[in-house]
Amino acid sequence: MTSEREFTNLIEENRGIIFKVIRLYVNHEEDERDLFQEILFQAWRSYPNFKGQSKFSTWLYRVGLNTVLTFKRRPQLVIPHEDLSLLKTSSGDKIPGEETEALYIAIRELNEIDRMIVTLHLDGYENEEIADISGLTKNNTAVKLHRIKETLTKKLKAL
Amino acid sequence: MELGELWKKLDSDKLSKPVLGSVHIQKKSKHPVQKLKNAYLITTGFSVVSLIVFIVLFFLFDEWIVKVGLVFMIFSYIFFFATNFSMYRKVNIALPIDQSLKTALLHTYNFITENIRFQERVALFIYPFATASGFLMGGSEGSGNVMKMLEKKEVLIALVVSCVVLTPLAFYLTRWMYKVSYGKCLTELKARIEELENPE
Repeated sequence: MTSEREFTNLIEENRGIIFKVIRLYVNHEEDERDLFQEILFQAWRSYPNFKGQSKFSTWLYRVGLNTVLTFKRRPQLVIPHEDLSLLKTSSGDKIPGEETEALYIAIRELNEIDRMIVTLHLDGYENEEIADISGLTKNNTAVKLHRIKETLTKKLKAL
Repeated sequence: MELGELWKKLDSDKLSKPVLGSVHIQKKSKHPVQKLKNAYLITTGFSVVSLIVFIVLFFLFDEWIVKVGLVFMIFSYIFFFATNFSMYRKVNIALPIDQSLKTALLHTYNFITENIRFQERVALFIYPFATASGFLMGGSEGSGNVMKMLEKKEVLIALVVSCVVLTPLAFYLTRWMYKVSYGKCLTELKARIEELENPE
């Protein structure tokens, strides 16, 4: 029988994953709170099925993404592409440290499936793992990933 | 800076910062599937209460035609209770939340649409009887003799019109309520499923 303490410890060690998933898909404070609890609830309920074939962090990432993308959320804020240009000074130079913000905005502009694929890739997951997590084929994952990276690079270069 | 480096910086600077809430496992869920499951439990309870009311009414009314209407209602609500309870039990199957996203999305989408179709069918099945029984009970109370009341052509027309108008009204009201509650959620789920099924 799994102890709640053991589970809670694992969550404490990996809670950055939950925060990341929420930050990438949620805009409202109330949704953040709800989704944090919902991911914990779903993870706790599914934990007995976790047999350790993958790392706990991978498993939690999957639970987090599935929960967020099947949950009823408030309408998402649309960040217009033009906002990327706000990350420049009046002389046209980049504001120091704002490249990361530009990447955040560019990722948030992607549709939710593309967002998931690229963030898993950037977190070091192989195409096969991404395909397994998303339900796409490995080939489709590779093709999509290539296109998404091109889009992101273009957007960031435009800055 | 390269994409990978930027991502690491973004992750440590912004994404991994704590959001509201503490690591405390609550025993309730706000997931749409769970909410629908709770709705089934409430409806099951509601159908039991209604069933008791109809049984009591059956003994309160003397006229046989009202009793026939009420017998229909009692059987309808037994069916209503049984189907709702069976749907409630069916949702006990845990969400496949630790499988692929496509599996989780399909499960959620199919469950919600199946539930809406079920409620619409129930509305079509229950409301004609409910309308007719209500009409007859009202008639019995008002006139004191339903059979005599039903001899009047205009009363029969009113009964038919009530059934013809109220049944589709209830059907479309049910559909509209579900559209308001889950329409947007379903559209989004479907778009994500299509994105995964036809990625090109």
